[in-house]
Amino acid sequence: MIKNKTLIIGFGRMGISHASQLGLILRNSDIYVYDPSFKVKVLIIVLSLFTRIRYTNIGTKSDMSGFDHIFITSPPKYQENYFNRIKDKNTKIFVEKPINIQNILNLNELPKNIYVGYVMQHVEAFMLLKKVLNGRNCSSAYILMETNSDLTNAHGWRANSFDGSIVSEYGSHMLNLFSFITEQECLIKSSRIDKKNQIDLDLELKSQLTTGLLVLKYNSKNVRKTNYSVKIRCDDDIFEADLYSFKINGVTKFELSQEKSKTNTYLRGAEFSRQMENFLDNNNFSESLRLALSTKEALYDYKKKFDNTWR
Amino acid sequence: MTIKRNSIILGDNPFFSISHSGFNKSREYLTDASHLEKSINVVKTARELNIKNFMISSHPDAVDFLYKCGYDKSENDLPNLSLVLPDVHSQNTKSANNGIVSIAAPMLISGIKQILQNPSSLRSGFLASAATGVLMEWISGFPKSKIEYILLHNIYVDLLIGLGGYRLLRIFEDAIRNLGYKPGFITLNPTQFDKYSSKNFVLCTYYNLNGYNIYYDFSDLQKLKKQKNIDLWAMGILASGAIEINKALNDTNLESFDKILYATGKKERLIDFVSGLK
Repeated sequence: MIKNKTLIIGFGRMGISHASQLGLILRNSDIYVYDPSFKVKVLIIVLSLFTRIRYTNIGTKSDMSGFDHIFITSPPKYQENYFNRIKDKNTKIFVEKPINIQNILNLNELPKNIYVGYVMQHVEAFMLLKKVLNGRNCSSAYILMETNSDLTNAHGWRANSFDGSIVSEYGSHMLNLFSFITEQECLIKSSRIDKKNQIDLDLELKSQLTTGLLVLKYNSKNVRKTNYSVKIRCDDDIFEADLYSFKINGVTKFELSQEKSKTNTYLRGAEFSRQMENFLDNNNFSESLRLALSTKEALYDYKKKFDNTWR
Repeated sequence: MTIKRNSIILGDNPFFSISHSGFNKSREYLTDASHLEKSINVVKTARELNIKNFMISSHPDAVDFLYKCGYDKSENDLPNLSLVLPDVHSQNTKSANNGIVSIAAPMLISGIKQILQNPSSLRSGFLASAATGVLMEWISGFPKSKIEYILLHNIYVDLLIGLGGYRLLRIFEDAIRNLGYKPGFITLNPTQFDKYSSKNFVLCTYYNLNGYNIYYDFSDLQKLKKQKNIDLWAMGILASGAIEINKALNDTNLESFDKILYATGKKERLIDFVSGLK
């Protein structure tokens, strides 16, 4: 059996999680890890004594060829630097959101080998919703993310950064998901942040839909686990989906707790396993990249329009 | 099918919002008056129903919570505890704020402290001593005589399985045994333990008739139980409420499990569950 070589750049929570997920799914991969922090480097070296991961120093190498897969999980401001050093066009690259590689891409001819980690696209109910909506005329949408987390006191790269703000971190998931489901790009038309712990964003859609509202509720005491939900009206039907179920006109068509799990491994959630399998099994990710870039554009357009109000 | 009451373990997930929140959020959740009252009622009801096993997270508020439920301060009065380590709430908050090293460094320091305080522990090796030190720190504050099992949290177990870190799991298992407790692992990838070198430990995993959250083949799990003489504990047998209690409890596959974990935030549900036992 030919061994795969994988490189993971950045050993934070996402880097560790990808390394482990990969190890569960791909038994024949050598997993190399790089992190620029000295302390993290020591941790990786200690872990390498007991696990499959190995430390590799790419800090000074200009070319990072020879890897089948590279995961860039470092903060956005470092992504360009790593990305520029991947010369091998056959290497599949997984970039964690929020992406920051738009300035070095030829936007007229997007590469096929770059995958962006928007995991909500792999939630079963949302995948079903996308399938059912295919070709239908939709007139309105209500998108909600409600979480007990609060990024207003974020640490690390998220602190004082638009990429780490509530609109970007939480909103990007939902904007991306919405574009994935409806296959429509959108911009943010107006923004209201007058309610406590809630940001309402009016979406301006580029084609069919007439209205769209994206609501981000943070620091909410109503939820234990983050709630992601989408409600779309098409013709005379109402479609609703969240992490656990899919309904048409209030009638449940899919309920996760009634279903046998469709992946063979579990880490963080079945959608993470499906995302990894999708990345490993396919070779053309231009749609994933296009959607991620469109999400990025919508967010930066928002930042430009509402510069004083973003948090 | 007969399930004995003493094979039921009351789970604490609904009380502490396990795994879904950072430390402060979990504390807010626990101290919210109406939520706290409901949780206390569940534990009091469990006591009245003679359920003597309680799986509890190592959240710093966990023991206080038990005393609020009416147990007196003598350790004898408390239920038998299956303690889940480490406290993922605090660790999640720490790693989000200060990076992954902020979790690993204190572990190393506790290990070194243990070795300095008890140099003879080094005979079993540096890592074994370090693991013992880490465990001692994690369980400090808990009523030791009532801890029966110590289980490693599934976030750690499944991360380490994916990384191929079976040796680290073994080091912790041995340290748990050395401290006089029975070791166990909570996992959603139980059949991956076929590569694990030890025997006679507890594996706690999802099982239900719907196949919800089950990422293994049941016959493989049965084989593993036999090969390694493990105790199997089932959790999620109602598939988040999607399966009727009686239907779930009449499932003959439950015979393969030695204990059943049941967690609810409503005392009425607990009463219904227990009355479904034969």
